[in-house]
Amino acid sequence: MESLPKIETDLLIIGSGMAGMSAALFAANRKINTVLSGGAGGFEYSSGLLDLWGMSLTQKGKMSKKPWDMLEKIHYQTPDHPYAKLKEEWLKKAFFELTTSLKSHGLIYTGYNALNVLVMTPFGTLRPTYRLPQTMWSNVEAFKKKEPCLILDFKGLREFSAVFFKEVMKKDWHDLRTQCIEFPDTHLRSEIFTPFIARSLEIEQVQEKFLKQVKPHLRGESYLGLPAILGIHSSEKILNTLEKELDVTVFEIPTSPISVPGIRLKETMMNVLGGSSVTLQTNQRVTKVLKASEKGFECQLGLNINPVIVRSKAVLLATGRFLGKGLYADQKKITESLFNLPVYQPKTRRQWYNHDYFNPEGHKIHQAGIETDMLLRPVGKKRVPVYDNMFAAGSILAHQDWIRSKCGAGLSIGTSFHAIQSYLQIQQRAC
Amino acid sequence: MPKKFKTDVLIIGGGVTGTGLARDLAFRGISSIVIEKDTINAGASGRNHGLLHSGARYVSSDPVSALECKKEGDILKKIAPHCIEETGGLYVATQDDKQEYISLFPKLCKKAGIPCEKLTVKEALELEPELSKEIVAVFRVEDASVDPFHISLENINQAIEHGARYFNHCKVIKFYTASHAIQKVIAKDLVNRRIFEIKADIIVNAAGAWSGEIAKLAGIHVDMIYSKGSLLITHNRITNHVINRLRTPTDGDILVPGRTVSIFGTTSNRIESLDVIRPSIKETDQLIKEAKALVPQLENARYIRSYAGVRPLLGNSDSDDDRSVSRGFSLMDHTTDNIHNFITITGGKMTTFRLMAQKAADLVSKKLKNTTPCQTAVIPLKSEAPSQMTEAGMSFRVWAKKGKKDNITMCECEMISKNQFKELISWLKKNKKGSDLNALRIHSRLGKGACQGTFCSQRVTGFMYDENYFKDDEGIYNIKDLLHERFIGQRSVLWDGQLSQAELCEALYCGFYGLELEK
Ligand SMILES: Cc1cc2nc3c(=O)[nH]c(=O)nc-3n(C[C@H](O)[C@H](O)[C@H](O)COP(=O)(O)OP(=O)(O)OC[C@H]3O[C@@H](n4cnc5c(N)ncnc54)[C@H](O)[C@@H]3O)c2cc1C
Ligand SMILES: Cc1cc2nc3c(=O)[nH]c(=O)nc-3n(C[C@H](O)[C@H](O)[C@H](O)COP(=O)(O)OP(=O)(O)OC[C@H]3O[C@@H](n4cnc5c(N)ncnc54)[C@H](O)[C@@H]3O)c2cc1C
Repeated sequence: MESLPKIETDLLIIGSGMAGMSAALFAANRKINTVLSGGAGGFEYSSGLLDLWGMSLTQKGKMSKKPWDMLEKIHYQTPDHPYAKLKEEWLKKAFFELTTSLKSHGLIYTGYNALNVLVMTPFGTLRPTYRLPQTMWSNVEAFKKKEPCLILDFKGLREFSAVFFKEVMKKDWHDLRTQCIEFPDTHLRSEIFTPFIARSLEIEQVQEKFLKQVKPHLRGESYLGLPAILGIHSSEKILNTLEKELDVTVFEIPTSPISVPGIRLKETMMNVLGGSSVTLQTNQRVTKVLKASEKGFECQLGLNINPVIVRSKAVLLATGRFLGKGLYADQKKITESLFNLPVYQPKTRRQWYNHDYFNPEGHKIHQAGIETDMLLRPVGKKRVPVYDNMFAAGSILAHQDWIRSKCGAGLSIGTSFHAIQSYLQIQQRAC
Repeated sequence: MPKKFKTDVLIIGGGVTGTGLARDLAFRGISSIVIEKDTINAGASGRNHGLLHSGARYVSSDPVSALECKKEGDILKKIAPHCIEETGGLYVATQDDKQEYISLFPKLCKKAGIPCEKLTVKEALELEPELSKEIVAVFRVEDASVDPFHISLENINQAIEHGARYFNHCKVIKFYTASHAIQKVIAKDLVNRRIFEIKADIIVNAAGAWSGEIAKLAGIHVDMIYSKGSLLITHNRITNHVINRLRTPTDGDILVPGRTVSIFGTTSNRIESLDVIRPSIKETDQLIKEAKALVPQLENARYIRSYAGVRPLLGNSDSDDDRSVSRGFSLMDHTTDNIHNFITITGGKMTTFRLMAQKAADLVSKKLKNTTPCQTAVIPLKSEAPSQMTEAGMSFRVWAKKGKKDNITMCECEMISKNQFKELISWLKKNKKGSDLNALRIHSRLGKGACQGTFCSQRVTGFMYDENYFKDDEGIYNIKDLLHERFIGQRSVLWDGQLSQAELCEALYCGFYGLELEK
């Protein structure tokens, strides 16, 4: 054990999903000495949409346009919800800080000032979100205007069907046409994926061929809709080129994860963190907790390949739920995987899921997770923090159901911002 | 005016018995209509263990049934080898099992005419390394694994090829009886809610556990016991042989391999009503507790689904254990109840369905004065339909054999390609069957792999739109129905790996697509 290399740091962030990555970004902006540890199963699943709160609190199963009104209600309606622990000011700041950092690295997010937008999905349905990539802005506008539009899909791309989109959408929007084309140089491939198309479109020659292929199919439509494929690092530029050359307003339709907008978000986040105060160990999971006390933490990252020991004053736990493996469930109960923290949960497995899968109330298991104090420190019996200097953020938190409330990214961004603020507050107190 | 149909024989129930009977009658030149309130194998026939019994399980309780199983098993292996995997079976005893039964077992097998060979523990562990090291005695028998969907689909398709008709989603709701005969049968199409009439010379009640309800429509009382059995499907195939616990039948004592998965069960719980048949969380846990004595890996295995079926057991409701009620079948000529054109065939086992159909068809023939003998034991049970897609891992083999290039995998868990779905849909259309996702699921492995529909359902829906099979928002309902149905079967096994999978699925379809918001 002694022979393993050691890293000393102030803060160890465990988990590199939306919550861990956002926390790292906030830590970097505050020049906090940080190590970010991560593993698979997190950021890959980001759809690239940043939800804040999508549902009405008064009418179950109805979408809401006014997320901030809803958040205000949360404070007294469901005081246990993690959002109820956040200051509205800070939540706004968190979104602003994150999108500003992304923008400075070329990824532009937009939306209405304080309202949700309705974005069209590949199923031809609408869902609310708060901030979306600039390349999807006309997706929102186009549905309102309902002017003639061509929807394209690609041979061999299984994740998006233009006809599916059109057939469901047509009751609201008549002027839709579809076309399936072969993406340049893919005739030898039987299956293609959106990240492949996006990366190819970054190459100028491919772009030219692509434009040539699309042009003849346009018949004076105002809009051209595509699955999200407009490049990874220069989506804005590709969008502009397409609009200029084809003389049509172009928009992306977000596709299901693993998606191009998710990859854009991840890679841009990584660029933001490059050269900052954050050491990236995003391919190394925490495999062992060697020490955990008020004085600090000692964790082993990695198992067989280049394991290291990280000694930190504080830990931010952002390991996600069952998919991320922050929580683990056996036949009897739910446990927290690393520190064996107490987990709030239904009494028996029978209560985890009700019998109606699509029940708008959701399933009780999604409310399970880590309970915290106002500073987002995991608490044990009598609601006392388990460790003075441990914080939790993201979907691992109890008393929320991001799946039903449409608040996945917002919850992660907001709670990680709050956790970083709390960390600073505790540090100051210690000094 | 309600629609009217006429036929020689009306068969109520599209399980293995009803479809087998339609096939038998068709070969004798007798016309029939099979009416099924749900879809093929919606009852016990689609919710059993898939074990083609060697007979060994019944050597003590019912040696006659045991020999029936053996004989019928041999016939099916000959006429339907493509539906059967000759895995062989092992009877395995642990220290906890009664020595008395262990030493009696080979003698009972011999007496009943069931082949049985003693193996040493070492030999057994070489054959099946996953067996518990604590086992004390092992016998090898001729158990096999059978795909019940494949069998029933072949039955009905072959019957249709010989002139039979089949009505899906149509429920028999009423009989008109006069002069000691059922004059007409009233049924309801559950899809368009229309009522229609069927006139038949003979009505056969092959409604499995529901045959008591059907008999009641004719004012006849049939004493039935409903015994619910639950089963678990593992993510991987655990053993190559069928593994049986060597003791008198109880809970959790059979593990049957089925292509790429294994099925473990069963429980036996008496239920009062047939309204909701699903496995409970308690039963699941009870099964797993039993499992480890036989195959320790079953304690920590990943389970992808569970399901339950109801055994239609007849008579003697005083017995303590429903397993001791005879598994032999029962053929009732209701002439004794003063209705001369009504027959009930129920009970029995999937393994003996052909024999049950034969006996019922013999009685029908006698009543119709038809003298053509039964031919179901010699004609291969093989239709023109692409029904081999119901077997786990099978579609890949079919596909690989055909070696088509311009083809796309639609389902990675089960390796089903676009062209296979196309072939299946055109066949479904030709035979006037619904071609929605549910029909595709029944006739293929769609949604049955580890992902339980997470990835394939949206892809296949997209494909259905591209090929003009779906219009308007049909796809949305179809995905929702499929995912809900898949969920119900997973609910009691959601922990560990399968829970993560379920979380991903819900994150995708509710978190991202917001499907719970669509009506
Ligand atoms: C299919 C899908 C669709 C989604 N769609 C949307 C959407 O449209 N809009 C939206 O706003 N949100 C969406 N989300 C939600 C969002 O992307 C995040 O899942 C959510 O915000 C929770 O993030 P998290 O970081 O808390 O957890 P996760 O994303 O689960 O991340 C946890 C991370 O911790 C890591 N980890 C776990 N254990 C360890 C360990 N011991 N050591 C190191 N690392 C560890 C995991 O590997 C993982 O990377 C979607 C999620 C999924 C799965
Ligand atoms: C848990 C379990 C495990 C088993 N394992 C095995 C095994 O491993 N090997 C083996 O050989 N046997 C096994 N069996 C037994 C075997 O499954 C049954 O004996 C066999 O499937 C019975 O078939 P059936 O066609 O008679 O009845 P069913 O398959 O139940 O068919 C009856 C059909 O009638 C339909 N119906 C009902 N009412 C109406 C109506 N009013 N109108 C129209 N249709 C109607 C139903 O929807 C149903 O599809 C098992 C049974 C159970 C329950």
